[in-house]
Amino acid sequence: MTERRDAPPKRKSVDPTTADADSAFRELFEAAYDDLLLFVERRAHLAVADDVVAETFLIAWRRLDEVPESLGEARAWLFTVARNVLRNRQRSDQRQQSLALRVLREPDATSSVEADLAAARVDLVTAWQRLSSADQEVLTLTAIEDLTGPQAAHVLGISRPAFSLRLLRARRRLRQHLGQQPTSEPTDVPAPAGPSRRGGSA
Amino acid sequence: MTHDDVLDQAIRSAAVPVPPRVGQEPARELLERIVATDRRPHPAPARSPHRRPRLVIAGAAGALAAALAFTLTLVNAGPAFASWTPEPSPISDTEARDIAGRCLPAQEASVARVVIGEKRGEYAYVNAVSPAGSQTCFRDRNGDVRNTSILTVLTSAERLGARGIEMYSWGQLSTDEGYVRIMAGHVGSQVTSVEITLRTEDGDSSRTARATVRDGYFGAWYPEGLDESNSNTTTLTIRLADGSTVANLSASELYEQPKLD
Repeated sequence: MTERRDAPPKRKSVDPTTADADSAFRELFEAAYDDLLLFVERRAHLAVADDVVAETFLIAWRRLDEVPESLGEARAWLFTVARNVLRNRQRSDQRQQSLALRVLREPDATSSVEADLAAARVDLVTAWQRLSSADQEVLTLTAIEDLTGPQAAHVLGISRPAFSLRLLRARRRLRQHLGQQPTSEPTDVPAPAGPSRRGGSA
Repeated sequence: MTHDDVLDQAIRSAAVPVPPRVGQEPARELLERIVATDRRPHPAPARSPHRRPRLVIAGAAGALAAALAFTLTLVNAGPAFASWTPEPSPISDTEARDIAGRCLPAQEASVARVVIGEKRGEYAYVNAVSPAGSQTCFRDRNGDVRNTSILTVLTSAERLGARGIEMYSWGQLSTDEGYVRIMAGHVGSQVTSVEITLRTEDGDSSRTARATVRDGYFGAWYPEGLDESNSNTTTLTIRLADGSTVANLSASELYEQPKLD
């Protein structure tokens, strides 16, 4: 799982005409490989995940001068490319269906967590599975993959206000499935997620 | 901690934990395999000391005024892309092949077929198709050529039918003048034109660009800043051989899934 970063580190600026590219790409690869592989595995058949990650990093290598310097932005850039690669593969496979995100796990029967926590997790997994793949996607991008609202909107290719609205509705539906009622009902028109707010919490 | 933070924390806690894998053999092999490849099989030549002569535009005054209005409204970038035109002009097959040759890896360039080649002002755009898929190339005002898309496998002409449309590339490219959107797609046998309309968030302003349509493919590009791209609404209108039109096709939705006949 991605660790949250209040001040995302920056990669070295890349001059594409020099050997700096090699070290800059290695740095990016080391920092982002695990997150990217998980991002793809959550959305693709496991058999193709390695290929999608390889294709995404190859694109990053060839277009390294376009990869943002900030690691947080670079992750979002890689996720966007990977999502496009996945979409093209799914299109060419003529499957056309969205895969449910493989994100949440059932509690381990031998887990040492307390019974009420385990039960709560069962409820969450059940509620999660009732969500549409689109709802799961926006929640995963923010809660699991730690993207800001603007970054997540860019990955999905939608506007920031549209993403904020999708996120608000996904959270609302998850709470409804959990049987929770928010203490105050949010409006239907949230403020756009700002660049400094993790997950664009609407 | 807000309600949303609590919910996000619960989701994170329930997510499948996975140990790091970047240190394992498959990742190490992948890294070494990638850095062993040439980043730019066909490096662009050094920037020419003089700019290319500007394209003579039919109806130059009107077209240039429209282009400037579009650029200023949607990009807010001053003189950037000043020669961009909403109507494309064709380029010669020789020029298109030259651009493809500088943009694609050698093994792909030798077998690729240029299906779209167009100019808008000082800029050129090429879409080349090979058995492995399609790639797009963009030449900026300085003559630098870049591959702008991932290799993608196309929906078959049979599935698209007569009135279908597939938009398989809609990427953003950073240039020294700002960002542009590169669009490429595949159309059904009866589609004769494709128009792209961008509307600002408040709906008060819209501009249209016409795509090049040829041999079942379409392609276009237009300036669009990052901020604008987050709020603009982009739609496509296709015109068919019988004169009818299909309007308001959402670019976002088309990018997700082709419209089949």
